[in-house]
Amino acid sequence: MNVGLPGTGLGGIFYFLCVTTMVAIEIIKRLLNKVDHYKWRIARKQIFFIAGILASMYSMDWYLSKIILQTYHATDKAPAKMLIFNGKPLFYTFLVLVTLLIIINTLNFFIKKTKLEL
Amino acid sequence: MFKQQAINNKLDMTTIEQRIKQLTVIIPAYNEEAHLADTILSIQNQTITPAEIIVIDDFSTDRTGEIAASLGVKVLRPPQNTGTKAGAQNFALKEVETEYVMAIDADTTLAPDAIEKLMSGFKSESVAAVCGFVIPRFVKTIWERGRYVEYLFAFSFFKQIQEYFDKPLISSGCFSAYRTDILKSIDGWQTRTMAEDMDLTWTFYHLDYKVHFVPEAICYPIEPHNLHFMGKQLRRWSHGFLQNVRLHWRSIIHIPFLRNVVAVGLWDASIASVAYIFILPLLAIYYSNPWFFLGYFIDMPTVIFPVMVTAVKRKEIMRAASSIPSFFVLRFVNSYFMLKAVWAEFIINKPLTTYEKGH
Repeated sequence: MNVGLPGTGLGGIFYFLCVTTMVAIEIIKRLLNKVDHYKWRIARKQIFFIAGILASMYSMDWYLSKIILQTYHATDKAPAKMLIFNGKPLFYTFLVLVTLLIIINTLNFFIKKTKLEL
Repeated sequence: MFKQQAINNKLDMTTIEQRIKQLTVIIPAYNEEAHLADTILSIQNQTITPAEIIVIDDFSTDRTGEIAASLGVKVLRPPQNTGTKAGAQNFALKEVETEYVMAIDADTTLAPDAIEKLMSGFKSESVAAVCGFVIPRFVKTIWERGRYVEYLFAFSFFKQIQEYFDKPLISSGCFSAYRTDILKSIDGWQTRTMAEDMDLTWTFYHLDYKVHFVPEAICYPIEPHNLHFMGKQLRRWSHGFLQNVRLHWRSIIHIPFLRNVVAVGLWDASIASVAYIFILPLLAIYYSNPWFFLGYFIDMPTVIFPVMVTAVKRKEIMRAASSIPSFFVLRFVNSYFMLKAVWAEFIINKPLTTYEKGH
């Protein structure tokens, strides 16, 4: 989920990172000759989705910033910037996500696993 | 090569057929006279029919039990209403003697080959549960349409990524199959949270069992058609998620990938919901700039692309395209109920304990 405010919706970037990881895993598997066809089919489909999402997000961002916001906020000296693919917002969101993941994955070493209670 | 593939496929089908002959389907039902017959008939008309169908008539006040009995299935009626779906399912679990048991909601019909596809997911002895793809049966009102897009998105995108990492977040309670001995060993479904399916799934992971998602196995539940019933369901799901986080967090923190999915989900549920409900409108008002409302739709391509690709495959292009706006309405409403749940469960410690159906 992404509400357009940097760092608020992390799901989108998280799943993008997941697919990137899937690509890396599949490449390594191929190099080691250990291809799992079932997982490769899943990875292939998600790679297609991510590519399509990125392309359409960029197109939308370009349209919004160049066509719409240009009219209202840009000047000759400072043309309207992209909303999403614009360095800082993406960076801050990525930073929040990485921080969260580091905290969660570190807590693993400090929290004792409990027995199952039913 | 093709002959060998054909031989392998035949062997697989024989294995799947044997599994289904060792399958009992249980259907918890409370006042489901309107829809139960469709559910039972869709199971009886499967490509391979299960060994037994059991309907738990949970002390209904309508003709639920009569209808089930008229269709030739076994009907169990507890001495009093069990209070929850989990309670009803556990009542039937005692009677199950087959190797596999499937739980399906009383308002859910199945694609003709759903059981056959689903049972192919039991690839090893360590697989405790398998779940399928969920699509709303009726897609008419704004709420059903929003849910339709939500499911197409979640089951074609998020859930498949979770499956790749062997950690589907939930084995959906409306349509899942389990190994009976494993389910009985943990006393079946727990009634300690509002989301017994999530509780069960995370319990399986705690015990190092596997759960698989089989997207080819499709079911069609009835989704809430108005805000009143949608609100009840969202309330239950929101509280259920948070109750499970509170219950299982010490165990989840040790499960790779699942801990990340839950952490991100919890962050989006709380922080992003605050942004949706409060921050975006306040920024728009403070800066007198309506462009801040773009934030509600900024990730539209993230939703539209996977949804439309899946819709093209299902030949439901117009239905999906016309339902997209409803998704954003539902998401806003979802944020509201999630925030209320965070406040009740984590801040004022007032957990939801009453189970209410969504229709």
